[in-house]
Amino acid sequence: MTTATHLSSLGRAEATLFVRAKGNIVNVLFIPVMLLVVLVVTMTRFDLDSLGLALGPVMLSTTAGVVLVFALYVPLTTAYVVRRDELLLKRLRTGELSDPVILTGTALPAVAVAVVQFLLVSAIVVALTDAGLPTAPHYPLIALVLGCAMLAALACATSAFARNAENVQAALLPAVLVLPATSGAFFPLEAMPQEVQDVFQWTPLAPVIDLVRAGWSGDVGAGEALVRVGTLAAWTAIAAGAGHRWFRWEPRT
Amino acid sequence: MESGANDTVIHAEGVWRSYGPGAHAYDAVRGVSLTVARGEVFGLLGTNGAGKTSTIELLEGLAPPTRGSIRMFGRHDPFRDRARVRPRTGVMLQEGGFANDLTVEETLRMWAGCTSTPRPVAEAAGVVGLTGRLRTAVKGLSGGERRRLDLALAVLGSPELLFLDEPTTGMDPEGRRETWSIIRGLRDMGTTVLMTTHYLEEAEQLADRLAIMHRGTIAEEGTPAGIVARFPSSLGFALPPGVDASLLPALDEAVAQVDPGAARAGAGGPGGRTGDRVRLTTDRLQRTAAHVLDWAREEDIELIGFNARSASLEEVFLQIADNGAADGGRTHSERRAG
Repeated sequence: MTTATHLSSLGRAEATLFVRAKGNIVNVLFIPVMLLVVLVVTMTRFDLDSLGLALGPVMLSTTAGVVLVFALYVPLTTAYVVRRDELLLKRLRTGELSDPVILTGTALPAVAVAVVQFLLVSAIVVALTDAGLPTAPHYPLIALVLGCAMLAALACATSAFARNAENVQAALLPAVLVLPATSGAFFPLEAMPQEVQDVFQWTPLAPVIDLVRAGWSGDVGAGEALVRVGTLAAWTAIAAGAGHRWFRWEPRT
Repeated sequence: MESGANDTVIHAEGVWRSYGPGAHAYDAVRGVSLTVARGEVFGLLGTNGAGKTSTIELLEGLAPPTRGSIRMFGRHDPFRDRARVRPRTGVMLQEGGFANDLTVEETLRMWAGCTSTPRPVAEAAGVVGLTGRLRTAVKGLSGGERRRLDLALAVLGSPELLFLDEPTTGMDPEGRRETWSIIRGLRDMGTTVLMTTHYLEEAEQLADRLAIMHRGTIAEEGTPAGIVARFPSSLGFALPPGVDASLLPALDEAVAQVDPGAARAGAGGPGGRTGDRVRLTTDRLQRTAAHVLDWAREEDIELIGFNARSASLEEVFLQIADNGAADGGRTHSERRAG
């Protein structure tokens, strides 16, 4: 009960700040929309049929990947760095809130935005393609829940490597480049050599892409789905461990 | 409130705090022990870098001590038993800790939501005189107003124990006096206060007991009057040219320090010259002063620039700081350890 009150108070304040920070409008609205437009153009150039893929599920999985990285991970890392530099995190730690509540409360608006974006863009994609409603909705659900947790934890870890708000972009760059490219979010992994696919299926974001796609295509067996969920859970644990190890509550002096 | 058996609010024993790894570690706090009783205003004084903030952060439970132990309210460790201690404490950090884009009201409301038994937001703003600024963004507040907002957050949960790290820094004299009266009001209602300050007047005005820190240790501790009483008073004057300091009467209770033949042009007497400058330190100021003045009258000597001063907190403070400067400094690799 108190945890819920704490989270909602912190989440509400953070949402107010989220709306007031100009950069977020760009990250949250402009970038994903532009990326999606570009992706529609490039995806249609791949011969998806010959890869045995349908445009709808591929677009949906791409949406999940892009939204998690650009609408959740990027603004949340920035938020952690800014709150740390404002000494707000340190101040909050002097109060009754536990550390996980402080981190979660700060993440709430970004998570909410990412989920809402995914749902909205999905609705558009479903309407424009013949994807239809998901036949196995539990796969995208698990992918989204664990994906949010993993990228929020990664945001904690990443924030430690940004000395201040000006340096956030550089700290974000590796994950922003690597995660979508190795997961099939930017282009289907099926278009790559088998050896590359064998390696890339173990990268952090790849299970999210596969599971979301499986929600619509239904072409994943229970055993393989379990491996995907296990991979995603393992990366989430690793990200959480990294966040716990490196997160800084106050600026470096 | 607990029974009278538990009257010790803070008990710290041999507490150390080190920053940095292994051989490069810097010890900001080096074996501090202190006890704060319920209802007391305890002042932590010290020069910059003395370890005040490093110490208060340990007591607040922001970090565990490298060595030593801290007990709050008789039994809780402030770091490990955070969930039990925090609802009973209020904290004002040395510096800010606000989201700049939130208004005063939004900031107070957020803290109220994070506090077990918050006062109403309007009341909290009223106590610190920010009622007219509720809709102002934090980034639009003056330094003094930010300190007041910080104080409002610290007392929002009506804490039993209040930590104030330099509560009036950046305030104008009026704001400072208002803050003092708020702190007195809280003490009168039974709140225990542990505060750091580098304003000696503030410490003298508010603190029931003081500890003066220097280089990570407590150099002096006691009531303001008690600390001052342990330090000698001083007398100072210059003798006219030609009068040798060795002619002074013997004074058992005083220690003389003579600056010989400081014959500086324009510094005093008729010829623009003075003789020996004398500084006497004594535990019995009145007696020593009477002796010196009697002698001067009998010998018909004018004591140039005669002054007699009881020890003050300021002198005690400066003496402690000077002593440290003499015993060869350690490098301060760490700047926020105030």
